[in-house]
Amino acid sequence: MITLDHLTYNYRGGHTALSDISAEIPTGIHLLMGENGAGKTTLLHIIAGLRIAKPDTACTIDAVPASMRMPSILRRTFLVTDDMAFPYTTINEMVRRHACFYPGFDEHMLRDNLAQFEMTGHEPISRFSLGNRKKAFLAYALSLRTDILLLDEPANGLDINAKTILLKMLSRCVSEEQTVIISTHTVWDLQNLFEGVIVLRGSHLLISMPVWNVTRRLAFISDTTPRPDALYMTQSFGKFHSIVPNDGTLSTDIDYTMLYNALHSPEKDKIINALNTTQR
Amino acid sequence: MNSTATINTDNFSWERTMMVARYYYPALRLQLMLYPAVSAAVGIVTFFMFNSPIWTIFGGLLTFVLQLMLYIAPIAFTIRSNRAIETMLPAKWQEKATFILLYTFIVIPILVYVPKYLCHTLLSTFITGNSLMLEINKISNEISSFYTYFINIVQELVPLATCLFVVVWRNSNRALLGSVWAIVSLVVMAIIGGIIGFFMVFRSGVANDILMHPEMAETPNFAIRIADSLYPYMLVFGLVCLIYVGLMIYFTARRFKTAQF
Repeated sequence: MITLDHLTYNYRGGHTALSDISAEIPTGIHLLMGENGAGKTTLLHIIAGLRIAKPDTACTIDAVPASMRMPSILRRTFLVTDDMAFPYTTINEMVRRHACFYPGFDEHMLRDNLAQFEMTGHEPISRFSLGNRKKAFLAYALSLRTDILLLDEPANGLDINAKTILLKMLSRCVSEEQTVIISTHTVWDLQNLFEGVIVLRGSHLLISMPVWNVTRRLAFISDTTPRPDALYMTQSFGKFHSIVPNDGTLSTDIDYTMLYNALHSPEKDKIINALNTTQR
Repeated sequence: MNSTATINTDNFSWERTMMVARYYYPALRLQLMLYPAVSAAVGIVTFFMFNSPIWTIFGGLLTFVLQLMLYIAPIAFTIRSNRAIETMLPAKWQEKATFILLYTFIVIPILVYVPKYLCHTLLSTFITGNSLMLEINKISNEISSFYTYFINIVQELVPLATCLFVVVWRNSNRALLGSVWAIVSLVVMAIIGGIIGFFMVFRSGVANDILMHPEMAETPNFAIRIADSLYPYMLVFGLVCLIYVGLMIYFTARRFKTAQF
């Protein structure tokens, strides 16, 4: 369990990247959303131990501060950033030198993942395009089977087919005991995957809750007529897209884009109030 | 306690330190092969070149090549370096720092100097030493002492420690700035050394003696007298360098604990 307890992080120069964030992130695959500069990458870096939050207890993993960078926590956590450079010439060399630090590493899973991307692991990384490097890194990261896997814009640079493969790979490789946090702007590539949603706005946390809880409280409806009970509504292509309070009778899929837009609109407080309402 | 148990704890583990070494090995592989080869080559060339006029032109350059190899050795850590992965590497910061410091301050000097001296020693066994080298070695042995060796070693470590500190602290342009600051530290040491020498020459009366008896400068005793006059100043300078190197090592090690990316 990742616990954030009044987490605040300021960069040198005074810029506040994260402001008083408190949340508990359980196992499952979570979507992390926010506008540019909201603090998504900073949050992932703090959880991964790359940035040190003060006090130490502001970000803990199973009650151990991430900032202490203890080997017992580091071997359970891995972050794939958007622009990660490969420290080795081939994936196979990375396996020999780096994977030994991660006791959960599964070589069969790695070979399967690489095969999905039509790779063997012998290929020189220097000859890969950025997209192929991303694929290789994702295939490797998933095979480490860390308890916590943090992916910053994993679909960036991937072709359409690769995105589909990544979606299937995440479904297949991520176990129930793992916590995966995926920060992405292109939600629709992976949207059937998420069990939790975290939304940041302007360094503040707006919501952090399971998807089932969101859809239990809110319904996402597209209709030809506007809904009078809509908390948030947009219109496009002749249809009205609304977020309405769910009294328990409606069963709809979550629309992340609409939710994101709603939380960045003047109706933000209505949405948050509806999500925080205790259901009878 | 079996080996698996030591790497599964949060206590310092030498096995995990070795894993850190294996992590860095691909970046250091070329250096591990190249440095001894160059050192041996320089040793062979300097041995045969010593009696020839070429030595006066290229001898210092070849010696400086070895010294430069030593000073900028830490830039090997920047090869294909990914600071995020290095920081996330499941090892204690003390283990990472131990490997980096042991490699830099023990392994690198051995790679740079031992092959050269081994070549000299072996060649001296089979080939009669040239007279100039023997004469210089004789003078060097007369004026050398524990303190001169100590000062020489410490002064060699200053640019090395500076380069390592910059390489570990910086997030960008690490190789370039590491090299630049190593050279800067050399220049600073040279300036300080020059000031010390200037001060010593006039304070100890050597300057006056040279003016009165210029032929003195060609006697072996003159070198000994210069060395004796310099000792106190160089000892202090050596201690200052040692403190500087110690501080660089401390802050370099700390960086592994406090680095943020």
